[in-house]
Amino acid sequence: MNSSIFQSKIFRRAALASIVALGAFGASNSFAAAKSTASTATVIAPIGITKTADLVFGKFAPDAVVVGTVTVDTSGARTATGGAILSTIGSTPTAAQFDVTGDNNATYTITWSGAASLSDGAGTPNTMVLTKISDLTAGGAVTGEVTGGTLGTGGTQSIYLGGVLDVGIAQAAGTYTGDVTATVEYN
Amino acid sequence: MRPRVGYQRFFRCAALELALMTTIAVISASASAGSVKTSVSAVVIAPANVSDTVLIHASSALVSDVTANLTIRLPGAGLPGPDNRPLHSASATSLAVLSNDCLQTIRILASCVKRMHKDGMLNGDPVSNIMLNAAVDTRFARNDVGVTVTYN
Repeated sequence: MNSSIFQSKIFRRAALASIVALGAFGASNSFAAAKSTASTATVIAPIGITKTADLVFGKFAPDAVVVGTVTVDTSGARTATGGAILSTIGSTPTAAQFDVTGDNNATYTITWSGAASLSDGAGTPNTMVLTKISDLTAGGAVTGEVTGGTLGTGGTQSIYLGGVLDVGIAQAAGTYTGDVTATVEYN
Repeated sequence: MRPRVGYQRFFRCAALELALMTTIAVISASASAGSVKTSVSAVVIAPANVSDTVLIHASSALVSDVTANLTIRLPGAGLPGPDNRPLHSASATSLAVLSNDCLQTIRILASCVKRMHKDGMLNGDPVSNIMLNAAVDTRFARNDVGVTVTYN
């Protein structure tokens, strides 16, 4: 019984509200002159990012007594310091490249996440510390990380990622891998 | 039983609204942000070993190039490959072999000319018959010629 009361109350209230609304609508039509307002909406292109090249350090050898580093700058050029010895056989170093698309002239932030070191995947993994280098040009930057950009008039911009690897003394031979994620977001 | 119908409608509507708002939020989020992953890779290989040093003894005849043999082991050498054959890295590696640090060990003036003696693919384990030359322009000289082996 209470339920039917409840429902009928709801029904009555709804009916009353409808009448009031209709009355108000009718009244407004009866007395007021029409006035228009301009409503505008701007639909912007969603921001997107794609990868067109991976970061590849290529082949190199460690030293038995001296630590070293291998750097791939944002142009893809590779250099070594300390005991690291570079090899060019079957080894084509490249900087990673990301292409960002979105609204013309829009500004956006770049967030980097992922591996801080590369691992050889062994049972007890051997690792090399990775320091990221990024820039908005392939100009050969060897330090620094870019954290934002502005899309061009065509709504595009590229981001380049290089890095520095710390090579340990007698670093174990093997293939070392890791993942780095770039996230872009409109400001 | 009837009262449940009202509540059910209410909850259905609420759930629908929540789903709609979530969808809008997701669409909004995907439109304003994006991310992509790149892989990073590096290959560490064993260093080249110079298993012997080169000592070039000058003589009275040393007025032009003198050769000496150098034996080296290549990256990966020593590890058995399929059918006990050398690993690929051991069977073909591009190295540059340079003579350097040409030391004059006697007081007679003698100059050493640094030369690149081998540059390109090397095969075998160990690799021998890498002939090094020391150019000396005077007699009575004795020079120790150091050797550097680098990857190309």
